[in-house]
Amino acid sequence: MATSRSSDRDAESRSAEVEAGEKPDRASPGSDLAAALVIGVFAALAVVFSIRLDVPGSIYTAPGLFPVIIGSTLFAMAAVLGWRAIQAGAKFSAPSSRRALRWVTVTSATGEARRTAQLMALVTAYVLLVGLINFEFALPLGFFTLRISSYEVISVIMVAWILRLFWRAHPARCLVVALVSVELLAAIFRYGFGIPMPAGY
Amino acid sequence: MEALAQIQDQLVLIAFDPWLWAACLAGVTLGILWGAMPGLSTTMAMTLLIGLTVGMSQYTAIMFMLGVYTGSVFGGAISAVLVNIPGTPDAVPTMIEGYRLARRGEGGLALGTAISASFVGNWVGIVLLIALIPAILFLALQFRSWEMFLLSLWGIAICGSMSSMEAPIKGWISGWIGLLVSFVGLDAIHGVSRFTFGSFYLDDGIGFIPVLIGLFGVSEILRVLPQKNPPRIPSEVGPVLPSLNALVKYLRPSFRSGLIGTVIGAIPGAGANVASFFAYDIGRRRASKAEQAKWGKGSYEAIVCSEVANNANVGGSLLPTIALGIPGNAAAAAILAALQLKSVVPGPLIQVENPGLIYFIYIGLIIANFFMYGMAIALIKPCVKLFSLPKTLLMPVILPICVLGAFAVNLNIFDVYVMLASGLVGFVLHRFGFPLAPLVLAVILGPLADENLRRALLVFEDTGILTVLWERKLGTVLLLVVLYTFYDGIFRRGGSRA
Repeated sequence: MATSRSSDRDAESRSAEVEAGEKPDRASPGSDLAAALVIGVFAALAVVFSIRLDVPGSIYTAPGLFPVIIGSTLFAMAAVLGWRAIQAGAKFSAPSSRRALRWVTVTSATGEARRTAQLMALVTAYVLLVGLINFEFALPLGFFTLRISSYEVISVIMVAWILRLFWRAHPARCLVVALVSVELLAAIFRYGFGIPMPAGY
Repeated sequence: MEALAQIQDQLVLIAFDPWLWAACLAGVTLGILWGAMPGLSTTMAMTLLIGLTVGMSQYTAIMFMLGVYTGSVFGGAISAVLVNIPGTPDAVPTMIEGYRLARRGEGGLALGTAISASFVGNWVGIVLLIALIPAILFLALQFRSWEMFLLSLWGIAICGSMSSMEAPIKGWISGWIGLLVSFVGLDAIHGVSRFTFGSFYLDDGIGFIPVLIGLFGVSEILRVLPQKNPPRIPSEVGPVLPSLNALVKYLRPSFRSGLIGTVIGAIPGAGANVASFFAYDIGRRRASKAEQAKWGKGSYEAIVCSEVANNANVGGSLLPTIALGIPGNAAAAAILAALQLKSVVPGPLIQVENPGLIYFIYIGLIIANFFMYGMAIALIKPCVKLFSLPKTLLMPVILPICVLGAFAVNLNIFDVYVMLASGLVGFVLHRFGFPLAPLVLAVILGPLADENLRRALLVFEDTGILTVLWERKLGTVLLLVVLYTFYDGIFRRGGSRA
């Protein structure tokens, strides 16, 4: 319990230092090494796929020419980043299930990490639902047709849910804020700028 | 004498037509509000609002579009300073500096400085547009494929080293990842599919707007919302307008940045984002030691450099648009479209076919600039109050704006998925200490760099690289500048940590 609280405090103080995106997090040599490995693999794949592209005309206009140059130099930069990280004290060791389990346990124990995972899941679900569900109701009111699309319904529900989790106000208050903000936004886009809602085209 | 008579005619026409004033004010207001919405770019504002000009007369439509252009370029600074999400890509340097000032309770003054700088920037652009047309056009026409490629590469390199001062290599890695992302889709020369893996959706490439919204909007939400006590902007606005002394102090950087913004604006293809980063970088190099220490931690001079440059870019971009019929950037292309919609064909014959119209555009820009200043000042206090609401309330409400912003560009749900993926990747990159601004700039400039490099290499094939380096002096200077930027990042600034 004490460990959990102290790691929570650590995470929060780090967050305060980082000041919410004002500048990138200061990475440790270990994370620099991990990043260098992932980027190195990504760059190598980019080079391989670029070389395999068709060359319809001269080599100078080959579609893969610039990607090969960029992929190779990115690989070199990743190597430099990894080398610097090793010089700064990072050690390379093969991933093990034991260490992975320990990382998951420590990470999930911090409140911020848990909330981040929760938020990521909600945002992903929100975007996927907007893409997958598609309907629009039109209610003729004589001089004006009121439209409600699946985007608005999904947005109101998901925004209210996120507000409830993070703003922690009364559910009714969260729902009202979500409803007013989403409908105002939808009205500006739909009636002001003539842009249809994601599901309404 | 003929020119004076034409200017007089246009002044009389504008003075006695209230619809022109109303259209300009409406355009400026809509532009500011549009630009302030995260990720909704100037180009998008111009493109979508062209539709509103269909029923307007020729002059009213031009006035409206000039208002939108001027307003939306500034609007990007509002959310950049107050929410740490740039409204438009060129507001990224303003975001880096302005948000830190806003956190210290100086959001009002940071925005006031941005407004004054935008006002000055527009003036510099207009004055240079009128005075230096022949010289700037000559310089802009020297930029061919090789120079355009080097200019794009320089933009990305500078952005990389500026946004990751302690370890420029991380900024460059971020930019290089952005370049690889920009290659996705059909290549512009042969139409070969690159990195699409058979997906029909990827054939059109990955748009920079969804990437921008994802990297700065979604990843910011993912970063800020889970914190127990997310940072909050103080609601006290404090002094808004910078003192006269401050304005005098920034006179030199203003003029320098204005010149950079105008010249870059006049180069077809190079937009306000390149201009603001160049001015930001050159501003840091030319600043005093004391001011340099503030750079990246909340510097008013840095805001001045960035905002003057991107607003001066408006006048600069109109230069080739009006005089040659070649748009200086994508937003100027929308102006070109609006002019053509009203049967005006910009180009060398514009003064013959539409006598006096060029002066109407100058006067329109001046009026739009005054309206922008007034409207922006009026909007500061409500904006600071709005954005000082708790982040836990504000961020969830921004999420649907991000979704709509990404969707509205092409009315394609795939862009919303791109936005989500960019947000998740941006969150991880940020956690590992990689800056995000170079990635966005590279996605924007990647296609330009790729196409121009391959065209330039074809020229090299015929004439030989040494001949090109000797004959194309501007390109050689640019090449040396690019190499110096990397040298400076590796050996001087970053030292062993580069």
